[in-house]
Amino acid sequence: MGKLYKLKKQFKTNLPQFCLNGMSNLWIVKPSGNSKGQGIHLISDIEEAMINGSQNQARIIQKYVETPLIFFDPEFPLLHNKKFDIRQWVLVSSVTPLKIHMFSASYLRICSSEFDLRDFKDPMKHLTNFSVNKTQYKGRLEDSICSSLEFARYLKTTHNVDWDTQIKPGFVNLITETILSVTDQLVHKPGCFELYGFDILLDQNYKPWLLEVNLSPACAERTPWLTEMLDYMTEGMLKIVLPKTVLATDEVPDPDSVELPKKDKYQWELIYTGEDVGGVANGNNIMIANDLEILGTKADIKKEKDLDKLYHQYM
Amino acid sequence: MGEYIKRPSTETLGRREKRNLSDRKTEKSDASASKLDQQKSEIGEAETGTCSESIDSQACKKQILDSPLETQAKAEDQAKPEEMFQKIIMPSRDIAYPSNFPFGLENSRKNESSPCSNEHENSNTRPTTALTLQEKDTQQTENDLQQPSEQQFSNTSEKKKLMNSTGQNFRVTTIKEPKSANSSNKIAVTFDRGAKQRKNFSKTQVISTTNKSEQPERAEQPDCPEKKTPGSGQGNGLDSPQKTKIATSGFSNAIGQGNSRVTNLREIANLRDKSSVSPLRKDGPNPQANTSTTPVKPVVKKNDAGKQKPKPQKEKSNVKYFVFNSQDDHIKRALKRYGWTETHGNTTSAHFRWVYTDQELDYKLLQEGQYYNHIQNNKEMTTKNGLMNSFRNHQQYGLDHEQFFPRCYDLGSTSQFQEFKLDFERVALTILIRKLWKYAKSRIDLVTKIKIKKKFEQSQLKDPDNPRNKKVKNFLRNLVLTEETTNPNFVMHSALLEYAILSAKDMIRQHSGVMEDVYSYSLSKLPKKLKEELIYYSRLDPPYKNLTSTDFVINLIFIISNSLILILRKCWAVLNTSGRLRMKRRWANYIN
Repeated sequence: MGKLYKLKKQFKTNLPQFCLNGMSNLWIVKPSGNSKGQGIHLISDIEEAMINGSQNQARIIQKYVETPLIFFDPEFPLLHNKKFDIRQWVLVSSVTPLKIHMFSASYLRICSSEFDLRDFKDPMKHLTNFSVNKTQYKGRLEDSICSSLEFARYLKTTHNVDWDTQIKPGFVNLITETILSVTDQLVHKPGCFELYGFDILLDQNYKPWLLEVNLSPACAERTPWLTEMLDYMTEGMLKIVLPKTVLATDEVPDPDSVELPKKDKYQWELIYTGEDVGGVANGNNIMIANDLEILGTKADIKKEKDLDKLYHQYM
Repeated sequence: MGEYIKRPSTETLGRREKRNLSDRKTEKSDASASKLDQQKSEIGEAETGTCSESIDSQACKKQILDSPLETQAKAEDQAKPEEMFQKIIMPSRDIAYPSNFPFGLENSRKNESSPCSNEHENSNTRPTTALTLQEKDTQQTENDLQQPSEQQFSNTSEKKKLMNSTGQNFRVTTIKEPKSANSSNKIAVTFDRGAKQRKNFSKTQVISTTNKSEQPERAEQPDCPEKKTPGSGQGNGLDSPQKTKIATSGFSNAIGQGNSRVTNLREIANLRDKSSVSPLRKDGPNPQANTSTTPVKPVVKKNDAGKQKPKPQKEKSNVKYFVFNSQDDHIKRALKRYGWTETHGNTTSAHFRWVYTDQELDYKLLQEGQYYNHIQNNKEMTTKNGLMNSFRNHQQYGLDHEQFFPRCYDLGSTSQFQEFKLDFERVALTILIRKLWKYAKSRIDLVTKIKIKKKFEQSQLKDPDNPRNKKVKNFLRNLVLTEETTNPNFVMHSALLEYAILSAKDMIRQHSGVMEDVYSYSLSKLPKKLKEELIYYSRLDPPYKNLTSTDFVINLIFIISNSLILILRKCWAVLNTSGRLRMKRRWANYIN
């Protein structure tokens, strides 16, 4: 038995995704282009997957995280036995040099029904998208989301997990690596920037897993604190993206004058700065930036011919 | 607000005329420096405005020909002031609709919906300035001809204030007072006209429609003879929107045509001299009006309006436009807080664009100094397929996405589907092993527990006072013997399983260093039937009650030993078919 345990450990170390495998072989099918949880469903059968694959729409199949972080704590009813994921705002303010900003606050999106792996056909138990859970959250919108600040406080007090030191580095790593993997494809243009919404899931060991990246993350302002967070987020974003001179207008010549009262909990943090490759627009042309050198000596043709003659003589 | 409403209507009338006169005065005598700027801009407006007037000089003449009736009208105006105000004000509603002026749409909406509430906003002040401008540019020409006669009005600055306040008063009073049946009719008329105008966008068309629309209106109101003064006021109000439009749409070179226009203006002015101006002069220095008007606030508003108005004409104007097509109202809110204005039509010239999804064309049209909330080729990351492919492509460059991105496959491609199939089977296998391991563990524990119990009973018989026995007693307290434990079959299962696993582990030990290759193990070499069985069992929970015991056990153990063998890919050559057969035979012997 001990040996089998060791085997399992070896599995765990060699296969980083071993811990995702639960007791049921669940996979999640996602259409490529859709948003708001449309067309997403769970399967545990290979024939079902085959049928899905034969449909014309581009679909991907992904391992379902069967071991998400779930709290069984009646004292914190918001998250009691419910799956959740974290929507993290990320701003790419320029491509070359690459600049990635992460907002200090985020919010948790919570499923409306209790988590149950056996009933995997019910999307309300497994999908956190608001459009899926809309009907359940009618009249109690404040239950559908939770501030990450509140969540961090809860983790610290009851589970002794520090957000800033134990969870956040994983987020930063995840975000930078994700964006680095696509920077070659992104086209640099001055004035272009983009706000992304990263959907991140925590597993049992507080390890973050990237689910997807959202273009133009839609934010329905469901609660007052979310509205406040959004206001701080947009203000910070505009200040990063637009220079002061651009932001100023006739009515408001000094943009600082309409600034919201400063709060430390709401701010953009620069998490990655790429090297400024002088004037080269595309990442593919980096080689040109360095001087090219040719090493060697000039070939003496006459000498070569003499050598050839000698060689033939001795042969 | 309330005090304005209560005020007698005659005063307001007098003030209106006074305003015209005071305008003349201010133009003649250059006032303070701050006002100079205003005036310049206003003159610029006026000049461009006259452009349209030169075209519809016919209409103006018509007005002026009717003007001798004005003296009559004056008396009746006092009797029916509400009507008059209605006529004056209603055009101001028409003023602010946009064709190519980005401010317009919103302002006009605001005016229609809540004209009283937004008194402080620029949107309301603009129409009044439009009125004054219109009147001014007619009277500017009069100035040239009537300079000596105007010396009556000396205190210009006070009158200017007056005029401003009256401008405000007009709006307020008229909105509050439209009660008579006539006035309501007129509202309908003016709205219809507005609708007509809204359809026309080109300059010439608009002007022609206004000329037409003035005339039928007079025909509709034959009862009231006092229509002339209000009619002219209406005409002013009508013309002014087009003027603002023309001015804003960038016909700044209208100044170059000034000479031709001046001649037109003079013609008009000559005609007006005879009729319309004289009654104005009589009412102009009305002492009552002077005493009644005190508020100072509107002066500030006038200044605001003066700034607002010529914005598009100023060279150094710092108005920022943004295009917005999304649900993110917080972006809109933030930009409006910084004083940005939203445009709906002309999207290419906006300084900032915030749209939900991007298009290829947008990047081509993007100019320097413009900001756009998307990066080209963002689909590589934001679609699920793009993200997966970019991760797959970068696997070889050392980006270890396995650490944070759950593995996924494209169902569209056949090769990836095969990969998925293997992965699926692999997961099924691990699940099966894990389940059986758990089950075996619990069973074996029970067996050991029974052994412990037996030992405990024996030791208790020998030495009942041993303190160690207490611990064992506590341990056994929670032990519940179920039927399963009494069934020898299940015990057998677990024992077999343990043996199978141990033997497999022995093989692992013999070929150490194999675990590096763990990830590439597969079930491809298993027979198909066995594979299906494996996946089937992985979904069930042990103990598998519906199955016949012996066959199942043999199968199970065969599967497990095989799977463990398959994990050891390097051992595959060593463990040939004979080896497997031997193992199978051994299990069979064990069971029997």
